[in-house]
Amino acid sequence: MKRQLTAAVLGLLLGSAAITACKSLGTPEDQSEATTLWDEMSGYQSWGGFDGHVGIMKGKSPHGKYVHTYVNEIGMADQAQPAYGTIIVKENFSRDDRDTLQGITVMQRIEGYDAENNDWFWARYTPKGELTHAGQVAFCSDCHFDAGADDFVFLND
Amino acid sequence: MTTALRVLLAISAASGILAGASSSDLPPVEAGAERFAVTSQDGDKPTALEASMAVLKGGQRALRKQIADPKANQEALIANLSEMEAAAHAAIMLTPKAMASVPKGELSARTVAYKQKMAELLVHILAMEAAALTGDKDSLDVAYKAISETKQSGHENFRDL
Repeated sequence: MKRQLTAAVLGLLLGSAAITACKSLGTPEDQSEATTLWDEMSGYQSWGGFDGHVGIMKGKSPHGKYVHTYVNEIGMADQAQPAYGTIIVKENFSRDDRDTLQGITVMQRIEGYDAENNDWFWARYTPKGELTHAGQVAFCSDCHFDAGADDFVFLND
Repeated sequence: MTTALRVLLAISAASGILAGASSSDLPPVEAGAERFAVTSQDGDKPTALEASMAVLKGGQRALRKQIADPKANQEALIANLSEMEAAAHAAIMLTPKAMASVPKGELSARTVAYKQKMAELLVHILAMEAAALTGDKDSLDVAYKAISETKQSGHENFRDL
């Protein structure tokens, strides 16, 4: 039992650490889009949150032990079916506390961007705004594929 | 642990899968892999495990559409599940790259845990195959959900990045 627990904890640590260690920056266009997105996100701390997901909540690997999710006005307009233009920003906090921001993961729905993945554009930034992931990030879409209603969003399930 | 999983693990262990038999003994997954974009996370040539996972990913995405009308899609559904079965079977034999960073003292337990997770996935795929034979939509939906959940927890704990 102790060994299984140790293995599980180790697995969680590996999963969490790895998302910060490996970069997946996509195409130059993706990087440009991510730069624009960073600007569009300015002031996101004033955005709303989906029902039941307001404020700092317990998170799940690889996003961190605690997360705080914000959704822009377009997304908030129809939580069940996030429209094109929706931006969802998730602050990923440390495994140990809810005060240390480790990264910011973002999904933006862009019409015609990636039909296979419900047209979501994915990005991750360090707290200082350095881009670590952008574009059609399989690591993101593979997991979010399992969200209900085929919309790649877990928050509204 | 379900009885089915216990049985599968016992069979697998007996056949050498959990003991580390050669991957050449397993069904080929190349046929399935050709239909899906196989990419390596780090830009290197895709590993055998990445090829297997590509089949499973493409297969799961196809499943969701196929089980909407399992009777009309029965032939394609069963063919897809057969490919996924081979891919999952092959993946049991392989080791995620992330294991390279696991301390030696924990490696054995981690490896067994990974193989058990893949065996669990295989059980759910087989359950879907059984349900597909009769077009039992309720059972297909239950097994599909189990596949999704197993994938989620497997990636959370073992995915190469």
